[in-house]
Amino acid sequence: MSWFGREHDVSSEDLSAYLDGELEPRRVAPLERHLQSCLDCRRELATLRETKRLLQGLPQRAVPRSFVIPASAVVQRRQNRLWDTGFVVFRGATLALSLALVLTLSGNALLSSGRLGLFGSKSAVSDAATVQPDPLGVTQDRFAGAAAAAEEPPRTVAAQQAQAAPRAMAAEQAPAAAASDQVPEDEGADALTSQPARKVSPADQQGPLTALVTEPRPDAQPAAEPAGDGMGAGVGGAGNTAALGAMALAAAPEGEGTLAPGAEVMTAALAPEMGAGEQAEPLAAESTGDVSLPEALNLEELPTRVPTSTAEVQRPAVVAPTLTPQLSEAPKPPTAQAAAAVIEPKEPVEPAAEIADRELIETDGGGQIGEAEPDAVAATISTDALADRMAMWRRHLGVTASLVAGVLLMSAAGLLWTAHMRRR
Amino acid sequence: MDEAAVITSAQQGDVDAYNQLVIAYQQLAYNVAYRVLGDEERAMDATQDAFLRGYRAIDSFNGGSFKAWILRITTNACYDMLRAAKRRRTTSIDDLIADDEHSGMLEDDQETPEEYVQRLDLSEVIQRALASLPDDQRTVVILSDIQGLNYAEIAEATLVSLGTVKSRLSRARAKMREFLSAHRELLPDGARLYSESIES
Repeated sequence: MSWFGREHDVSSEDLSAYLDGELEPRRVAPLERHLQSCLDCRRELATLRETKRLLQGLPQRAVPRSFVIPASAVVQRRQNRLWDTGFVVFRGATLALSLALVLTLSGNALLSSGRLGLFGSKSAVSDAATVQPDPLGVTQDRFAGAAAAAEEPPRTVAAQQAQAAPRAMAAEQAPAAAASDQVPEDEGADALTSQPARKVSPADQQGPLTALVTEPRPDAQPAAEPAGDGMGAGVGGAGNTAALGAMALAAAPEGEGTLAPGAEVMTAALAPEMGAGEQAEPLAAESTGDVSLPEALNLEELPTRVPTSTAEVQRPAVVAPTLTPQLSEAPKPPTAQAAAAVIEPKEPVEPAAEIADRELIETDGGGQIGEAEPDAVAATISTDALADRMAMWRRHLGVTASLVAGVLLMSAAGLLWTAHMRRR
Repeated sequence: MDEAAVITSAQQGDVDAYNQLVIAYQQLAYNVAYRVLGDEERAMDATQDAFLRGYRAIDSFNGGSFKAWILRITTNACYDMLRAAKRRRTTSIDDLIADDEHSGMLEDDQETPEEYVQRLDLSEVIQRALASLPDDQRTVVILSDIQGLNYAEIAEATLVSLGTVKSRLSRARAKMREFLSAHRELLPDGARLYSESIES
């Protein structure tokens, strides 16, 4: 047997391809020259040629039967097309559901880890502040005007009192003006209408209240002027109010019963005149029996009209310690408001104003001005609300992930089924 | 027959058009299946399966040689059958008895080797030579030397490169030559000259 090793430039493959006419044209001439000089290659080529000849000599066998497609195969082909379509649909659905499941689980995981701060905003704080219950039992309506005032640039207590005084004066003068033209219908109106006729010089009055009432307040009028909303007209009447209050107070020692008509007027009118430096004792809502006030001067029965400013809230507290010596020695009511109001009795105006502001915030949700306690409570509420929302979202994502996983399993099953049916 | 138009009609669902293609290529497909499998029954099954597969996959034909396309489906059907037969052969001794390659030897214990050889014809000898080849070499030499396909058509039918076709065909012919040389007594008288020319 001949052997074609590396010493030949022609291989068995070249001879086989040359035999079939498939050798590269550029290699045909060199191979033919080689064959002229190589006996082994000529023998190899001969055997390849004979083998091919024997194979080519095999007869073609006749088909034993026809292999045409029967009619049943047509139905099968249509079914196959349906399987193909179903396979494509399930494949796309499986991919989409897999992506959706990954996104849902990722979102749930991020919420669980707290990396998604989706709900942190001031609105939560303000919302929390608005829902805080009113510890003072004072409706929001009563302090609506005070809240509006709280949003304005901060003022001193004196300025606020000056604002309150004109307001009180305006409120009182309205019924007073009406009463002057017609018969008054209530005691408060009667007191007002009767007072101007008996107006006396503040200097003629006696008692500490008189002195306070008549003490000029240099910053009252300038501060009151920018207040607007009707207070400007009332500024000039502040003195009249003080005089009326002094008159009422002067009548107080004469008897308990006689004080009743003027009591309300006195408390309402005198408060704006009092300096903020006075000790602020909350008496609007709290007054105990230890206070040796005339029965008529029941500070719980404050004037019926609604105070419209911070100063009005503060008014009872300012008035109480100066009405009588007993009041100044009265034990302070143990209320949150009292504790807040009695923090700095000797400090200047600002702390009291802050206390008043704090009261407003606590009662009507003036969230724009944040102090220590409201901020802490509001922050707690906002944190709870945030946690609740995140828990809700986590529940939603969990349910969604479960649904997507279930549909994904069904889609995957359909994908496998259609793939199997396609191969059949 | 305008083969391109018939193929288009078949792709549109015309089964009669496809059957025209079946009639045109069924003998080619059957003979390839027969030479690859070495058995008429299995060849028929493989051929029928191939044309059914072709009908279901006619939409995937994107031009080129339809002959190469249908032969690819046929050889794949044959390979599937060979793999199934090998799995059965390793598990069942009955398959050995029914094996065509050895059935002739076991028919009569009294037959001499000379008588056995006389029963054989050239086709059977060549078929036995082909059976000794690996499946991929056998397929290439059948498509080339029995069915007359060129290297490009063989490459398209078997999904291999031209170089692979060339090497497989070279090795297949070499093994065929070795088998025939070792069993030259089985060759007919016309082939003996071939044996004598090699030794000279």
